[in-house]
Amino acid sequence: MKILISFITALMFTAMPVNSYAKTKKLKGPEVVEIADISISLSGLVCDFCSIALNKTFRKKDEVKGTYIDLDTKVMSVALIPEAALSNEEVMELVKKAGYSTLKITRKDGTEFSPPKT
Amino acid sequence: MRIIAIFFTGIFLVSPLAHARPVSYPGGWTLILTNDVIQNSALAHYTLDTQHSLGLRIRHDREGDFIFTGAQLNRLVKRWNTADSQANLYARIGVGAVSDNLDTSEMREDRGTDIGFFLDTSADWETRRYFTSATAQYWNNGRFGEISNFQGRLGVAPYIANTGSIHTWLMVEGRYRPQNRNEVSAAILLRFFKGPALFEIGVDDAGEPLLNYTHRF
Repeated sequence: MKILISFITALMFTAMPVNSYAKTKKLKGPEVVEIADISISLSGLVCDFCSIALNKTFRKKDEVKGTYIDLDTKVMSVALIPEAALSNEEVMELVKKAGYSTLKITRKDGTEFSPPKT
Repeated sequence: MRIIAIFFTGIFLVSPLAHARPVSYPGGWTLILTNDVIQNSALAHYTLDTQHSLGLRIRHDREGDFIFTGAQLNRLVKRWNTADSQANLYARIGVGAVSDNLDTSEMREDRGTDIGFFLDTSADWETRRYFTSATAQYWNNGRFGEISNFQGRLGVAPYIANTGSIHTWLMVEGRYRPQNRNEVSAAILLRFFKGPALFEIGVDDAGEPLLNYTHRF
């Protein structure tokens, strides 16, 4: 039993520093909306756990400077570091990896992409 | 026994407990604590990919007074995403050791340890306003006996909260546990949800408390 308790405690303490590091490294507030390079309309977004899954998945990418999700509009804003790019396919793959679906991708220059309905 | 009691007491005091989706995002850790009249349970799991998570489960059956300790594999069988809702179908399997929770003050023989396993399937559907779920479980605890559990939930959010705000849900839960003293029971609960933390507090129809906590790392 001591081993199990030690395992769970160690698990929690090892996960937390990684989390904290990620938080300080990337932008995560609503200010991201103002500087967003990509806006993604999503389906299946119903709670904060959904937001966490998407934010963490995107923020692992080196190209991503910050993300923010508005549950009311169901739009995820993604800011990229200078000179970086994420293709529509990469965006859809990241959304799918987090467990959600892409309805529309809108770029800063106004171009839009809607994936074909499956 | 004392260590287990301290562990679960700590869980109660430090955090509330929870029901949450058993598969998170790839690379994510989740801690799920569940406490009610029949059990104290802790599950820490790591999400392997979009459809699977693997975790360690410790469950104290309060009626049978035994402890299950083992590995649990969760599978997201299917997810349905729509613009305003999400629905999920999950399957779980766990295998581990079931041991007597004999206290030194108890005047009875130690029932020893056996191998146990469980199977579980659940489905949920939710919008930002409404929530419903259903779960069926079968536990084979070796010499400690079998347990079946069926439960369902209905919930409504009195207001719609945006990202980062406190989300509140009012929920009712119905349970059918054929092997338990009270086969049929019901509970009402409040769910509070903010960022990575989900806390539930409630009471069942016998006046027994219910506390759950989930944290996503």
